[in-house]
Amino acid sequence: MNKILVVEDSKNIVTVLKICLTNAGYEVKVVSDGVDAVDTAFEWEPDLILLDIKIPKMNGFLVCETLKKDESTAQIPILMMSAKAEEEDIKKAYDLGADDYIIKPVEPNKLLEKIASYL
Amino acid sequence: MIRNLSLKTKILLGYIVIILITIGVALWSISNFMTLNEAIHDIMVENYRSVIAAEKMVESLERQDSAELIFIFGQKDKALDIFQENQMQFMKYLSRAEDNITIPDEEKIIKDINEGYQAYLDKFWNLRQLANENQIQKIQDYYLEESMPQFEKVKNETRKLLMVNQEHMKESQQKANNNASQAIYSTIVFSVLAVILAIVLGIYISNLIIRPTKRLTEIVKEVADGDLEQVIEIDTKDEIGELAAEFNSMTQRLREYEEMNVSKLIAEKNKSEGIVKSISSPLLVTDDENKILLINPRAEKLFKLEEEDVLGNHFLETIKEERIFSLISETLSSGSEQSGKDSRVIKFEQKNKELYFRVTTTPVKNKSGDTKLVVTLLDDITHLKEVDEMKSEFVSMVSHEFRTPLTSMNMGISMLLEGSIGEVNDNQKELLEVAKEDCERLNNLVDDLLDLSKIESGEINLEFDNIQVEKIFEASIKPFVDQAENKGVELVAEGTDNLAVHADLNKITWVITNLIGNALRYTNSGDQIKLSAEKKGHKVHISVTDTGEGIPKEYQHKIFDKFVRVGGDKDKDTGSGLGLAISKEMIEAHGGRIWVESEVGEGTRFTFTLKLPK
Repeated sequence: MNKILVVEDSKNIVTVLKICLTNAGYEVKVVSDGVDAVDTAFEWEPDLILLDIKIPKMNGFLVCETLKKDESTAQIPILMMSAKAEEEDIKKAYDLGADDYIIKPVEPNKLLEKIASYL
Repeated sequence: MIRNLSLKTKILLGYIVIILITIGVALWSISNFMTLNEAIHDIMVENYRSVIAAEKMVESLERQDSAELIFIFGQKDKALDIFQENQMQFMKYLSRAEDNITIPDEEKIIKDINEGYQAYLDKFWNLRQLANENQIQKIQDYYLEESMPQFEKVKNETRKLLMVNQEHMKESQQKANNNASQAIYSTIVFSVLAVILAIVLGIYISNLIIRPTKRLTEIVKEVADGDLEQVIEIDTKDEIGELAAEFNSMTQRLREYEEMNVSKLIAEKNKSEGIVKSISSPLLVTDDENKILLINPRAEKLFKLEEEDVLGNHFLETIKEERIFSLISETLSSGSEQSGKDSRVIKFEQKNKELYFRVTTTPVKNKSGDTKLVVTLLDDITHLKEVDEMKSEFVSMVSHEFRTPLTSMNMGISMLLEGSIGEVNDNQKELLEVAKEDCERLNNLVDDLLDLSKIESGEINLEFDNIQVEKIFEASIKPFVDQAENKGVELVAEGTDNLAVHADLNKITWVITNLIGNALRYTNSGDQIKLSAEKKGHKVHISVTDTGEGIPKEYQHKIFDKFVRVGGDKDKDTGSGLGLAISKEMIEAHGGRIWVESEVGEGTRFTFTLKLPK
């Protein structure tokens, strides 16, 4: 069973994502801030990370940068999620090593397709 | 005294003087003629008669002498006749000479002649006595010794009378000659004097008229040139004096009129200056050489200047603002008002605060249409800018805040509809579909709001390129092919004749897509939606024409405003009400224009302009 780390601070989105991913047969762990995200990534070693950009303590860009710089976590696919569709944000995410950029809101089907393509 | 006379009298007086002089000259000449006449009379009457008398006397004396000789030689009777005849002749002329004594010596000479002649007659008497005695020798002797000498003596006396008179005649002639030449000289002198006097008077009279007339003309010229301070100093009481007085009162009235106008102008000037000073936006006025003519307190404060120090100076010397200067120069050369464009918003940094001004430069033209002044108004839009930024930030924030709940709602509803969580019945499904549709609508609204706030705050970046219109049409139609077919609406793109435009493909496609989407919403089965393009001048006109319901007149002018929907179909719409507002902003960002033509029941045509490729 593939492990997916969801980094998201919105309680309702977390609920929906959790149901969606669990239902699709993934093992899901949720954290709500950047620091926890980095810690959990190292400890739990997920197969994929869904990373929101606007999160407390340490934003998504920083989390992505940190994880992609460390050898032990660099190979984990990171799918950034944001309500912002600004080109500069998207470019920044890819520059920092993110594997994909998902603009919210997203259809559950599309999200699952994307996730599957990285596993 | 002459000053008070009328011009006519003056001229008349001058002529009278000249006439008097002429009369004087004539009188003088007449008197000279009379003097001459007298002299001639002297010669003719006084002397000439005496001369003639003396000559006749000599002649008769000689005849008497001859008669005496004849008497001696016998013919006594004949001799006596001749003698007596000539004696009478002599006496006649002698008495004539006596009556005509004119020379002082004459009287004595005549007396001598008289006495001598009496003696001569006595001697002839004696001779006749001797003749009676027939003493021829005695007679001859007496004649030779007494009568002949006496005859010679009387003859000499008479000759003397002749000489004296001839002499006097000569003198008189000389005197007449002298008189004549004197008369000539004096007449010449007198005439010359008269001519000189006439000339002097003539000049005086003409000066009387001409000098004031000249002065009048000069002053009239100066007044005509605008110098109303001129006063004519002619205080004569004649016609010219009157004219001058009238003229002076005319200039006086003109002066008063001008002063009145000047004070009006000053009042106007003060008024406009007052208005300028009271304007709360920085304002300055420059002339056609870019010299500062006026600057209001707000502008002084902005540029940190004092009005007194900068008036008359060149704009760039005092206000080192190349950006404003280029706008002023542009207005000066083009003669048209420049305002409103974003390129005219100028940022100042003062006391660590950013200030934004929109520069409006208005030309002030003279009668012939040349730009003489430029009024530069700096409209302080810092506040607007701040509000705008706040609005953009707000919209952006609100939109993002909307996204989060929308995401969970959308995903949740989608999962339920998919049935992956569990089967839903038809009613539940219907409800969920309504919820999903509204979720999408909210999401579109958020998207559009974000787009609009981006365009309005100038954050949008246009990627200009030369694009074939055909390509734009193709990309715009593609998403609607199925939808149009399902609805039974014909969607066509006309031939574009290889037309190309200078534009951002994505943005223009977005605009046309939006227009087609709108058209589809208001068309029914059997209607047509047509895309067309046409080159007009330096622009390309692109139109989206439909045969749909049309837009009522009262909505046409405001459909490009935000959140405006044509009345009655609010429920039908899933659009945000921002599509046309965004389209307008996008077309204007391209330097184009968009407008609508529509008739209810006949259809609608949206047209926008784009630039030709560079």
